[in-house]
Amino acid sequence: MTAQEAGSDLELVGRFKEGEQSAFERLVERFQERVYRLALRIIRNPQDAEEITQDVFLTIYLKIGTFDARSAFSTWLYRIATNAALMKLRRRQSASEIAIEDYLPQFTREGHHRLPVPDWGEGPEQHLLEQEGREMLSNAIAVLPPDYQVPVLLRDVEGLSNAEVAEVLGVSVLAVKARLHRARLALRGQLALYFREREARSARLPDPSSEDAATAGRGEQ
Amino acid sequence: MIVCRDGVDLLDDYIDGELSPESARALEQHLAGCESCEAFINTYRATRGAVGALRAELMPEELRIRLQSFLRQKIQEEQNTGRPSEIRSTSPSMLFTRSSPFVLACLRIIYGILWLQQATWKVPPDFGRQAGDGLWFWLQQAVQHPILGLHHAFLTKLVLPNFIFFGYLTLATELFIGMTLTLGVLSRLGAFVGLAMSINVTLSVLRVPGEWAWAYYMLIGYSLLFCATHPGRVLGLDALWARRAEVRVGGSRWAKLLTLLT
Repeated sequence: MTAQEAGSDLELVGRFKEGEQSAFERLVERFQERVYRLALRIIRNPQDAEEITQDVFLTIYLKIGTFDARSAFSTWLYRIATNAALMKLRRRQSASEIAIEDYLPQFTREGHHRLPVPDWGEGPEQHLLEQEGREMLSNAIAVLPPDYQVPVLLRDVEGLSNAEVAEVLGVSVLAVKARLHRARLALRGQLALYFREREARSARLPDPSSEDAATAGRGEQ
Repeated sequence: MIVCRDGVDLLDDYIDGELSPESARALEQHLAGCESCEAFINTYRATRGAVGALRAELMPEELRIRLQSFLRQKIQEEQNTGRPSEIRSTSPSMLFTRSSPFVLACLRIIYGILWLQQATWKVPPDFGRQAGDGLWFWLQQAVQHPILGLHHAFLTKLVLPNFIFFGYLTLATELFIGMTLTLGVLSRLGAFVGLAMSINVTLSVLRVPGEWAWAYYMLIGYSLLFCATHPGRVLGLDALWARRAEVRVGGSRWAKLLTLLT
């Protein structure tokens, strides 16, 4: 977030505190996308995400008096949104989570990779930007335990800095970096598994239209 | 010498350009000679990039409209009921100043030392029974000036007949409270025990002539304060666990219990 943008956030907050309703509506417009996206990724249900978004902005409206300009408005907003989504998630408690450890890289006692690491190459990378790949990646994020998922959403999806994420979550920057690293490793691990299975599939069922898949399938064996 | 595991640990700092030039060079040297690590960093970088690309997702238009009308309606209701639009709740930032944690830590340490000091006159092996002083003397005082029937029964029926056992128990309990709070290790557990012991002491000697009643209320009050906070996490050893617990989230039931007691 640039200083200029942050400045005008605070300016809007100031005008809203003085009773100007349109300033509040401007803030909603500016932030609704981010709140909804974060809520949807945490709760995985559009209807719940919509409710969370409503609640968050209503909270903002009612509690603006407790916001002090020591932190950025966006940080405060993200904190309220994260807490609201996690609270709802806890009440649902239906989410299936993976154990992070299962997807971390394995090392020998000397600290070398236990198994050779295959590179995906550019084909799979391109695939991640397409619909199916995006869904797969979204799922991989969704099954991370919330303590790891939320830092990834705030840092990598929403683009906050490590320091901002630390402020939103109320933990140290060091803790944020540690969680992010493990979360990204687990995501990479899930993607690696996905691509391996995908290649194995295409090796069994060679698709004449996809030269790429066939080549990749040979490489796997 | 960098091995694969170190390389993986350094990846984020390397990709973010936060690595020192020497470390970056060492990592690059390793990458050049290790196919697995080269593949690993490529796929790791690709993962990060793909996650970032999810930002582009948009919110459905009808949802924006619904949100807008929901908020307008709620705001209207708020204004009609005449409630002030600013509802202030007590957030932590309103309760504490920058110095609060340190004042809390100092109080904890002083409180712990006072408990240790009070443990010094519980002297084994007979705890003053022969000479008629020490813990024995105070137990007699407590029995003669009862406050609560149940507690009086506890003193006469249980403590008096087993005086030496309770003498050691008192000494051990007070040493435990004193040590945990002075060092700030398992300080909340110490505070819970301290609360129970404070109530016990208060119920014993509050009515003894010449005793200063408010000192006992303070005794209870401070232990309540420490129960309601994590007093050992500043200027105390509990800080070490707190820092680890923060980095390694989740964890076993034991880890959660430890977090609760520190």
